[in-house]
Amino acid sequence: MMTGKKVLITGATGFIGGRLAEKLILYHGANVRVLVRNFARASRIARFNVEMLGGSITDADIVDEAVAGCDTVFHCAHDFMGKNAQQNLDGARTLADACLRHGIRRFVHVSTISVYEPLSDGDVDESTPPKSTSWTYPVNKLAIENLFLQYWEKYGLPVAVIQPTIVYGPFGGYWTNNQVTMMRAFRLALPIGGLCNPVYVDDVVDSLILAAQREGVVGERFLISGAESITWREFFGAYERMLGIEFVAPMKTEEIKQIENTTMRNNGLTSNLKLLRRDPRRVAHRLKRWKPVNKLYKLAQSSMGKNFARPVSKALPAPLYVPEEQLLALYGARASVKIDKARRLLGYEPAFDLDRGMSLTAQYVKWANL
Amino acid sequence: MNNSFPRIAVIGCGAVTETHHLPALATFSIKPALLVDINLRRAQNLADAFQASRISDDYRSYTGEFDAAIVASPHHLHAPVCIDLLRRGVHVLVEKPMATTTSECDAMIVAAEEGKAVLAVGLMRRFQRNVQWVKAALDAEVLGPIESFDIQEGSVYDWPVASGFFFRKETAGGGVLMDTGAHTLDLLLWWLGDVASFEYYDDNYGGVEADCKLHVRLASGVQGVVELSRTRGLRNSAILRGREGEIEIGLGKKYINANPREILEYKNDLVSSDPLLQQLFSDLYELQIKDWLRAIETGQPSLVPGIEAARSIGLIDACYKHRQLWEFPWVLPDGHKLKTDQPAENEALQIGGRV
Repeated sequence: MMTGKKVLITGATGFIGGRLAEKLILYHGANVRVLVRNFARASRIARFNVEMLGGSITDADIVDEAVAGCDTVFHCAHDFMGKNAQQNLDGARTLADACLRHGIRRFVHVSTISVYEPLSDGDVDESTPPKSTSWTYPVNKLAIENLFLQYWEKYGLPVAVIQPTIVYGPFGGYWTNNQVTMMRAFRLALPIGGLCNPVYVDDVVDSLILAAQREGVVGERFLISGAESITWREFFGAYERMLGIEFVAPMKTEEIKQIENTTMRNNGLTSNLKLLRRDPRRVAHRLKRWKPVNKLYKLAQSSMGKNFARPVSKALPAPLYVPEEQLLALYGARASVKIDKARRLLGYEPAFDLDRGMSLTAQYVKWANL
Repeated sequence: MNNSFPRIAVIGCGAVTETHHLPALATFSIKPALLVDINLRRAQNLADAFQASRISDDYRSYTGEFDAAIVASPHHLHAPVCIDLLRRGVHVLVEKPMATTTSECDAMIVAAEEGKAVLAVGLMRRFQRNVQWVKAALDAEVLGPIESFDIQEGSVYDWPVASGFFFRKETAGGGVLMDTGAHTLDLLLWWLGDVASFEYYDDNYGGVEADCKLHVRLASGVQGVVELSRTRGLRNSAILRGREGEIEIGLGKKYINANPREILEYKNDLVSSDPLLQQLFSDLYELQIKDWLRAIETGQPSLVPGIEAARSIGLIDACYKHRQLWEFPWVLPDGHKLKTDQPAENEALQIGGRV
């Protein structure tokens, strides 16, 4: 159904958008155009014969050129820097206007489960009301989602909204690459009993393509997750087995908050000295961010090559990472995401359980030297 | 030096021109006679910053106003622009890759001979002390006969790119093999000699490859692997194993490890300085321009003349003609079969340029 169709993807240099482009080309024979803000990130997408247009989503002229002639638009782009929240919203409006002007057949927006944050214990589905929060990411993503749905109600923009949960997989930004990097350096103070709703990236991408094809999905939101909820302990456990390291330090939420109060929020000399006594590596990390020290560090690294600092790193225990407020709430919630609506209307069925998804992820992690 | 010989034009005002070539010219107090780019606003900004006399979107209107040119245009324009300039007798320093095919390289070399002009290629790694030390040490057989090599170079790509030409097959000529590989394979061929046979794999599905792997057997019988990436951090070093010992040379970071350590004590008349002395990246661009100006002035060959740089392009060209898909389990996890075109080329290998 997508064969030979011209589709536009924003955010195609990212994790989900990149895999979407791959699957649209390899499995569906689509004719893919991408809007690229930063070409330095285009290595993966450039492996394919895609049409690349350079520019920002806030540039009305380039967005108009990008949308022109397209059958479907997938909006995956999002700038995670809090200071660029308004730019995300402005870009969404620019894109929606261009889609209306060019009468595109379907608009698929990649939102997030975060629009329901902070998550409550129990079942979460599309009828769960969003909560009031000051966290930038959920607020920004919800505003964008609502904007598109208003465009559907007022102007008939044929939009379907996909709300993925915890997306992992090869090249996966936050829940794969970042976590693996974290695991190499830290242990995680993790609340006991919290539930994770992981989904392998290909399942998310398949749901996006279904949303572009199915009738009766316009104006709807769809939560997309794997087949079952597991504990965060199980989720991180899969990475621990993959890497052969111990990462999780299970604790009660109250205990974690107590640690946070004594370490994270103090920046004075006394507290830094206390921190040095308790955890020398953490102070080294802080020092390394200071420009003159960073310059010296890089010079030493350049002279001594890969062996630099390795003996010191090995001798010290991994410091404890204490999640900040939003992450702590996510790790602590016993929320179970329901995907019945996606199953019913989209025909979505997750193809990857955790074992299969993590097996592919493990092969990628090894290959990528993460 | 604005009006003194040689008057220099810079053709192509992308990121490398802004961050390296123009600052390197400025260290010699050279103000460019002409800056050329299709983006005139960008050219004007750089002209203001580096006191260039004139800007244009077409160098052909001003060919009488410069004697030498740095060509840093998109890759596919290297050959046509350089051939035109060299035939006119304009001395050229062309960014790497010298060109995108062997036949283009050959035409450039012929044009330089016809125009009696210097053709130097921007493979600035040859100006690194550690790289030069390795060449001298290998020639002196400090490691004994070489038995194998293992070269890895890769990181998540973050080089500044001012436009998308770099990621388009028709303008870049290729991906990581053409870009990083132009450096890496140049060193391999310079250090160890020509290639006899190879197997080449990459992850290109109709665009330009981000990852590739090359299994090589050299004319000397030595075998090894070259792995390049734009998507992952690799070791970024060349390991050369000989009967008497082995060395590991940092390709981004300028270090040499040796086993036994005494290997590093090797010195000769050509390479008298400490190979581990640090050089800044900008130093290499300055040395490159200095060498090019010396070649123009004396009529002696530059350190990296066209005929040398053409060797690695010959190998890259052959790799692309005989490429095999590097398959990863996560790309088609369900075993989905692609409708692929079989490679049309089945010609005899022309490897290493001059085998």
